[in-house]
Amino acid sequence: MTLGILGAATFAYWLLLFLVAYLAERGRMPARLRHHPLVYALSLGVYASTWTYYGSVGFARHEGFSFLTVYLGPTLACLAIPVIWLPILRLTREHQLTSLADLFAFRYRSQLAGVLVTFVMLAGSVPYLALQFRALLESMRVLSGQSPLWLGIGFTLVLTLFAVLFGARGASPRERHDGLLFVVALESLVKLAALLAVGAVAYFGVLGGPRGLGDYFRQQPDAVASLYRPVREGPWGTYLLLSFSAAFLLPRQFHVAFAEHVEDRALFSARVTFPLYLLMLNLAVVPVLWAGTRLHPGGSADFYVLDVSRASGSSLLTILAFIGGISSGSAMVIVTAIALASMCMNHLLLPAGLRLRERNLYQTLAWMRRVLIALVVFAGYGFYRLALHRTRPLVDFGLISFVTVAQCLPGLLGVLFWRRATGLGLSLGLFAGFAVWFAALAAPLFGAPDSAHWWSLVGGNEPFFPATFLSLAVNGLLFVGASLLRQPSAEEREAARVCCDEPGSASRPVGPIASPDELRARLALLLGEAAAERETSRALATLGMAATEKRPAELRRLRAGLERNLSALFGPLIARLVVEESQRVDPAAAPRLGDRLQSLEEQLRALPRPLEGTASELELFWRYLRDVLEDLPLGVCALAADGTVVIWNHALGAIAETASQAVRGCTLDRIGEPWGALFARFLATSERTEQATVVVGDERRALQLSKSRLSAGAQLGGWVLLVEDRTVARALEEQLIHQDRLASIGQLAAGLSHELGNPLTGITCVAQNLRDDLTDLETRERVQQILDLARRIDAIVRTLLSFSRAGAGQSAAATMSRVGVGDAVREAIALVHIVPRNRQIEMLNRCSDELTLDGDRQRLIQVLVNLLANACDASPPGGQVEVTSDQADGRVRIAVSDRGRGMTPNVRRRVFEPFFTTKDPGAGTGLGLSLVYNIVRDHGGEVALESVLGAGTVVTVELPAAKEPAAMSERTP
Amino acid sequence: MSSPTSGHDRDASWLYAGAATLVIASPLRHLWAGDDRPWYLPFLVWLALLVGARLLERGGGGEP
Repeated sequence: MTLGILGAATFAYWLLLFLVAYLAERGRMPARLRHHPLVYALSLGVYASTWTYYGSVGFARHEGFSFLTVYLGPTLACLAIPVIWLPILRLTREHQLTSLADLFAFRYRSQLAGVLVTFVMLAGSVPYLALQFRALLESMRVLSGQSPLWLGIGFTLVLTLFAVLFGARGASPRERHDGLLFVVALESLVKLAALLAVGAVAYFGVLGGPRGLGDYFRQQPDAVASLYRPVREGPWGTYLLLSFSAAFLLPRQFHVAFAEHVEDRALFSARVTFPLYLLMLNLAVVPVLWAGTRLHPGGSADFYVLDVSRASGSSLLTILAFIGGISSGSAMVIVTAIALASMCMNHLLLPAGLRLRERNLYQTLAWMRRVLIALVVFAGYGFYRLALHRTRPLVDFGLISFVTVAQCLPGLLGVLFWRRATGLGLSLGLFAGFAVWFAALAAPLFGAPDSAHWWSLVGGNEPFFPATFLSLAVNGLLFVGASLLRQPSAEEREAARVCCDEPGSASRPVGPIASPDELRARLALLLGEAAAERETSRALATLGMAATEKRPAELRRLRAGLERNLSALFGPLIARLVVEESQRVDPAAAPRLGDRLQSLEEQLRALPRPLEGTASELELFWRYLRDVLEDLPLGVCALAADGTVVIWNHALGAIAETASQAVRGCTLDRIGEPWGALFARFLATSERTEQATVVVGDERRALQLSKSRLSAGAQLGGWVLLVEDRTVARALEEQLIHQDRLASIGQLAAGLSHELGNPLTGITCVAQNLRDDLTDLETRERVQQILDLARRIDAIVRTLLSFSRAGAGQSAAATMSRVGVGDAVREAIALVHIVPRNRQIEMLNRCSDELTLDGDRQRLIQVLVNLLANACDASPPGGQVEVTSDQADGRVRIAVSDRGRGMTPNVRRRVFEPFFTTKDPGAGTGLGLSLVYNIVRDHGGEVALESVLGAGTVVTVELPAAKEPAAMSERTP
Repeated sequence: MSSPTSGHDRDASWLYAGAATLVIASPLRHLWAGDDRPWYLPFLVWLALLVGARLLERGGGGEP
């Protein structure tokens, strides 16, 4: 087959991949297809590289069924998805981690850990990348007899272009790359189809089916036994361990499995489908091996796949087999380059001092990733050209990489299961394990003398078992030993609790940030204006938070959200540094008591399983005490020694109309008026109790404050404030005083009217006699005036007397009578006019004298007096109050309207409540309209109120009209 | 971490992975890896493990 045909086929295949990736990336494919769990499982098939495609046959030839270990290891790993993969997935998703280096740096709070993991991964992956180039270019040589230099460079350029276009679109590797994933899944299908096709040709064509296979076994009686022997005698366990860890630790596996916005559902689905895919992929290996042995007994088994396809005589099958190899290699190179670029960026470049405050930060980061991807791909190709030993089997390079990657296994187990593990232990272990790996496996690649004689000391006649055993043993021992030597730091302990799914300590303190805007401004100093704006807005939108948010707990959530988002851009450690620097928080600073308490509550709520033993009892007791405090009918505010609010119970929330969440963690100066200032002033005094009056909304509230300093036994110090709402009690006291005053006035009025009555009667009698005796008309007229004035005085005295009796609670003794509406209104107006200020108000009585009611005259007059007095109070001097009446459907309606200041909706709602008043202290009792309501209701009537703020108020009293005279009888209510 | 996997699921996974490891990695593998065994037996053992895993999933140790 010519180079041209192979080149054209490769070109057409890549064109198809670019097209499919473009369509998936642009959403031109149904989302159900792109996000199907099977796509995820197939994309995990990136595990099967050219090593699987070509090298498995060679591996099987030398080591029999040991080649299956490379796939049985991932099968065991997948069976442990709920205990290993799922916790890693949730950690990476929750903390926006993009690689194993990110995960280690996050857990061990160590930049050195990130750097070491990156180096280990680079060292393990570059030979592996070189292996792909070697397999691709040699497959070309096998089929066409040539493999020019430009072909290798062309491969490299195309793979780089694909990785950059579909894997480094934006600045963050945490963005979902639908095109990339879909193409990787498609390539998995292509290589499976190609291998199965070649396997079918091998089995049915070359070997002749079941019957031909029987003949083959007769010719080769050792064929099956030679496959089984290494299972019992070879380094079976070592290979299993290596492939088990490679299934999720290899950079490409970690990237596809955890960094691409994977859902739990997809992960669980892969538990069976991914191993099943690997099983199907391996079905063809043994038939191809035997067919290849029959065709080319002395040839290199690594390329039996191509030999068998060529033996079929079908160009189409040969091209399919070749394309299968291309798909195996290209997917591996692309995903590995993307994953390694992300590690290099977060753990080599950015910590090395890159200035984050770029003009266009995102573009700079994206371009850096693209350049790193290109560097990684070219490093792989360069390694192949310069250093790759071409006589060693393909499988050797794969296993060398697996041993490197396995060095991260102790660290990962520490992440998931061992809280005591430290960054120092990890770094020492990793470094030592890596050194053993280099001496045992890597150095011989560069011409160092083979250390085979060493292996015999540890019982091995091949390098992989001793190298794996020694490197992991040294690594693990140092990891455990160094971790036990030194206590983990506070940060390590906090991260360990997060990773081990256990309750953490208190959240870190929030710096002096009052609002998201202030946080954005401080972030801008580090990241630049545009990036700060974008990141803050994104975090606010993700959390559904308003830009005006000021509650400390919410600001803490915002900080965590920002840190997560920045972690996807810069890695966890730099993100943490940026956020802390922007808030100028001392990392060693102790968290505030309020934060610790809230954090404890959150952790208890999120406990994966209930506490047990003493801890459970303590938690129960703590909940009991908290409920007692929260449900106390007194307002309680506890302040920590630093002046921040720790407890703000429900009762205080109701009094202050401020929820606990809004003030917890705040200092008093950040609590809204009047509470912060009131409490601060009270704490500054030496008094233990104090009376205070505050206005909350439209309402005036009388409070009693008490305070106590918390004893030193609590070791935390601070103050506790009790707040009692005495508004109702105070109003009742004032009402009692008022009633006493009214009763005194009533007695005074009664005595006064009695004392005035006799002389007034005398004056009236004398004046009448004088008028009757006089004949001079002018003088008679003047005497008549004296008589009129005396009668007026008499009327006023009688009215005053009767009203004072009614006000003193004598209504029960009153009797029902026929009451003329016009007359009653007139009398009420006369009474209201006694107050000098009310004389400045014009009162218009437009009530008909013909309308009558049945009721207690004095109490009805009291209703009118109260309504008129309120109308006068609301009207400006010179204003007008109008009283109208009408009758309909057996009901009389009396409306008192003014054009005064009107009422707010809140006042309107509460105006009939007892003791509610908007007047100054002492000016009103808050009982006037309440009394009106009760009297009218006693008479079977209703009161309605309409008011427009600034336009005036109309109060309408509706009462039953008087019955027919015959039906009317005097009775007591 | 949000919504941890149920304890039952974790325990069942540990148990099943342990049992599978016994079958594949321990000396018990000699039972299916004898010289006189058919060449496709390892694939059948592998398939049986996957069927068992699927049954475990459906039996309640499955998706969260």
